[in-house]
Amino acid sequence: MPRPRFEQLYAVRRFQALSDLSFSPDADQVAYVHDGSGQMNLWRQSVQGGWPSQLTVLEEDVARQHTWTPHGFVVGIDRQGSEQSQLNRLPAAGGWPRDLTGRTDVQFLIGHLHPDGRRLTVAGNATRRQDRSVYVLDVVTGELAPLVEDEGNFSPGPWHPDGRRLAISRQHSNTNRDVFLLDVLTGERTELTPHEGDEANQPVGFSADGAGLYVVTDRGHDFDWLGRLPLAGGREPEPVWRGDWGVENARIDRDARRLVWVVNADGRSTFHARDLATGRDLTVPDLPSGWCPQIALSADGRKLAALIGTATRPMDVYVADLDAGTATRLTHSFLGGIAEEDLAEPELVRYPTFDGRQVPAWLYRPRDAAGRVPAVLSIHGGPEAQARPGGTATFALFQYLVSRGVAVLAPNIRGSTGYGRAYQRLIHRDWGGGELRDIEASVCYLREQSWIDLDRVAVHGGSFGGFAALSAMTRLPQYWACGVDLFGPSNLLTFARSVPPYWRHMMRAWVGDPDDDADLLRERSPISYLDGLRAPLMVLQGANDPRVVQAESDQVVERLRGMGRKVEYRVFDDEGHGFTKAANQLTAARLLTDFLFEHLGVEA
Amino acid sequence: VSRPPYEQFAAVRRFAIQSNLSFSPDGGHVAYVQDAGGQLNLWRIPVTGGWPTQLTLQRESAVGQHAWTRHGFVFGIDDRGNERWQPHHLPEAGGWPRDLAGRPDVQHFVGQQHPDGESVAILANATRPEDMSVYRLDVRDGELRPLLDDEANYNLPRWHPDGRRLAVAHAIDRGDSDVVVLDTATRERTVLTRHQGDEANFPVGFGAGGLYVFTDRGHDFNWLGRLALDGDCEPEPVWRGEWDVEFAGIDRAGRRLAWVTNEDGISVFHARDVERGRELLVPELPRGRCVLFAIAPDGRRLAAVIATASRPSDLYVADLDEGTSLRLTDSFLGGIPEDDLIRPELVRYPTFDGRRVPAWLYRPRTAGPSPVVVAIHGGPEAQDRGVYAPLAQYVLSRGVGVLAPNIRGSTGYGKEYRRLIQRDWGGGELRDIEASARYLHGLPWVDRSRLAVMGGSFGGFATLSAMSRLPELWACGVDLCGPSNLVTALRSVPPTWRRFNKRWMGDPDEDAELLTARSPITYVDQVRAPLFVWQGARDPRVVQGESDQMVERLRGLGREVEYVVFDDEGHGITKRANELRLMPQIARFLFTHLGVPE
Repeated sequence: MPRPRFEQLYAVRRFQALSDLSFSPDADQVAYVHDGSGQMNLWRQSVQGGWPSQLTVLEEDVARQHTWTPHGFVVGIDRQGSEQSQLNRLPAAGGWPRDLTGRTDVQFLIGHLHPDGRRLTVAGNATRRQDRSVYVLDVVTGELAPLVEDEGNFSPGPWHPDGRRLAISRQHSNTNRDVFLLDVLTGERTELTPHEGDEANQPVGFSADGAGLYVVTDRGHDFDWLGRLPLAGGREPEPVWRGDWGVENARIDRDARRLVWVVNADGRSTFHARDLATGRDLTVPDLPSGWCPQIALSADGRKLAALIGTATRPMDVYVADLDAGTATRLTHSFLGGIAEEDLAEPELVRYPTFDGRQVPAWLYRPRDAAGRVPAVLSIHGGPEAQARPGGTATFALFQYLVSRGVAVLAPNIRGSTGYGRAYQRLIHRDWGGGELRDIEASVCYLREQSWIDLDRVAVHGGSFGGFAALSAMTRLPQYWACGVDLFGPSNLLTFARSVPPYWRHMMRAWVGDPDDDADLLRERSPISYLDGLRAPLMVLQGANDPRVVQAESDQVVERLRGMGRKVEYRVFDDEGHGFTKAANQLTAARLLTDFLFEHLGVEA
Repeated sequence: VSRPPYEQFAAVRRFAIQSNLSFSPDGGHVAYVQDAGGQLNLWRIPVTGGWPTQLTLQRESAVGQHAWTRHGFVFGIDDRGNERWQPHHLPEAGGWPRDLAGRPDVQHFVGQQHPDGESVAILANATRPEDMSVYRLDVRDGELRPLLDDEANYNLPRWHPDGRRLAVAHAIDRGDSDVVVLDTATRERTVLTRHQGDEANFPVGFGAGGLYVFTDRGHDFNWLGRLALDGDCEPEPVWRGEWDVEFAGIDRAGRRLAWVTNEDGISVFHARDVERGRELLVPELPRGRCVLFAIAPDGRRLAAVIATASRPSDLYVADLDEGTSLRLTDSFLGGIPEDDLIRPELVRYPTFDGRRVPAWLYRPRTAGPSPVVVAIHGGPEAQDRGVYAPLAQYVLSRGVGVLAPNIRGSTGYGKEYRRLIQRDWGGGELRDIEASARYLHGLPWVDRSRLAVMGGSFGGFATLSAMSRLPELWACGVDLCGPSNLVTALRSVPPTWRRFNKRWMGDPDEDAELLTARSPITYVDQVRAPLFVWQGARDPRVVQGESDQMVERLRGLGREVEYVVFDDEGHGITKRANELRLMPQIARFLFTHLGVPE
């Protein structure tokens, strides 16, 4: 097994996976956000590949979302990871971004461009901090006009072909969303997805005749499916694709001629396309088998852009030409010069947990290790997300660990998406409950492997995964040689009170109410069990984190230090929830891998 | 009038000047060193354009010269600006560079690869710190074997197609060098350019009819000639004119020769089929300064990094067969329309001895009277070529004019003009600076009470001289890593430079009196206007002591001085973050003391 250097494995240009890909209006170019300059910036490139043009030149600030309009780009830019994105306009040829929204205390998220190419819907909490309202931004003048300012968490959806109506969605929780049709002139709002209990509905786009709305919904089914919802009549969506895996993404072209969707089949993204005029399925050219977090469809419906990563190849942008049947790789983001066959492929395993459910997990086993090897149990964030091969954040870490003879198990404990809504919902109001027993099942699974060294197992995670790591370290202390918490909540009571204002109305259903459920939250907080912690702990935190504020890490570190426990703590002053600057990401990765190696007795 | 922020002007990817361009063995790609991503790293790109592949991932140190062999890349990496490049090897498929020499105390230059593609000529001062010797580096086993190792300074190694002979320049003194051919089998050495007095001779490469050389024999300018190998010693002109030949290269087979002439600051490209004696038409390339130049091994393409007045350096490839040229990189990220930038006018004005000083004059678009910065280039044996400079364009956009003179000592105007600076630092050229200020005084749009002087390296010395010895002319001054005391400066230059000291500036012992009389530190008490000083702590050329002593003395005298030292830089700025820190600071200093709103 080769032992590539740390710098080689971490030589990954990262994409802003939460930012859309976008096509130029003429479909000849694709734009994306990645950190090739050392910070997340907007780039564009020909769909044929070739020279990538860097469009923003941010150093401290961070490019987030973007969209490509006939009047240039609209780019969300925040200050050092604060997530208070402000919308900027930038000429398509490049230049200097002009701040259109001009605030620092609220965030704006990009919605959908009106057929006139000038009015852009945006979501934001400028009206009430705790709510998400919908506005229309004139891309040329920067004028911002409210569309929906009611209490609640609203998101703009696609425009109806008549240019007068648009779909909007309202989120009650991560698993409960309504879709409305809003008439901009009259302000009239029609609910399109009346339902009882939880049901998650997401608008995709209107049909060409304007009579139907394509939606992703979990109505009556454990998985998200793709349907067409008639605007009139019974309003029961007709299935387009419904199966035993979830539809994770769908796009429709400008004239609603083509529909493209992505199905998450046991962690792997599979691509589907249909000609809506003929109702015929189209063949999607071969794309790498991996994880696709972002797609875009050109206005003419001909080209599909996809961001795809695999276990052995970090995220890159690909363009598939649905007419020509060709696929082109646009970017080459792994610079380490290591052959893919020298990198580890994980095995998908499943093992039972306390209630008889099976926990799916990715197991990376060092190839030619002699004797028993140490292991890292890595818990993903979210918690409503999924560990999938191809994640840029974990590519280098997992490969580096495996190359040094450390096994990695990345489980999708309850609360994870991808395995049905029922499994996802199990985490709601049960943080620090069943999932901790899944973590115990995971470590016990590892311990059953004859090639694992029982004394050298670590737990690691970021965000919710950091909370899980803290829970495991404090409440299951007997299993761990060390643990790493990246910006995880340590105290659910203070966490629930310090999340961004626009999250607060969801906290009761998601985690618990800090007043009404105080006893439960206290009982489930790692901070309540700190004296149980035995093994060395590392905590990394961004000072500007608006989601898990620095106090969550501070309190755990202070308490542990007061108790004389060994804890390594590093705060990054110019970062938020995650590391946007390549230099900081490398510093953090070096700190945490050095820490893991030291306590797992591994030579770097 | 648009007023872009400094960052927009500076949104430029930079090419390493202390580097080169290298074609892949098949001529299909070009490798170059650029700072996209924040540090100077090695990249490759197809000659037909396309995706640029980053080959090295240095974060703290810069890649220098490189060679592209069929066994991968050989290149130098220094340690945070210390210029002691260490030769490294990297497989063509990428990976991690392997240090081949393990001599961090030695400066290495990566030279030309051997015709068999298995080895590369390396220059290094490994035996005696003051001498540059020639080595042959075997790319496969990483062994460095000496070829020429005596008390001399060699450079520009060029292999004969027979793989046995090697031409090198032997630097005797400043402006005095020979071309020597070494037979590596017999160790026999032949000097091809026997001469008396000063004569600068450098090899270009072997080709049809002998060895092509740069020479200034019998002429005020560098010309391109061909030397027969049988020892006739009289080069036959290939191109000889009233301008310098600044670059030349020949293909692997010795058939196609290409060269660049510097015609009043503008690079002009030439090519010839030397086998058939036919001129080749070079496709149109931007009108500006060629910074780096190479010819492909098969002679089909030329690669050039070119900067113009309104566009920073980019890499271009000209296809001599197809008659086409193509820009491969796009390094100006700020997106400022070229028409919004100020193009300079080339002016000439008389100085004290009747000579005329050529200079680039940038007039702001704002209504006058305007303040003006006189910007003195480094070297001093170098030339301001009037190409895009972020700081100049930034201050211009705020209404500050710029005059960039090529005072005596500058290259490009003949060796007689160039030599005027030798052993006369702080002499005639200071009067040229005075003439520059007087010229500005005569322009109706210039506010004579608001002139600043600024420069780096030698230009820093010139700035300090001007501030201390012509104090009545300036509202403020900016010195970047300039020597302040010629006696201490000469004692602290890199060892390989020392043999040239005497001719260049003077001997610190024998000429101490002259050097003291010409040192700004001697006149420090005459400085009146506020001064800004920047210094890189790792600078091996002008050590930090040069700036320290000036600043200490000025502070002791109660003068206004702003002093900035960067711990992680050497002679100039290599890191983008540092540049973005320093330049706005300098601009603010200028605006404050020139009375211009930011």
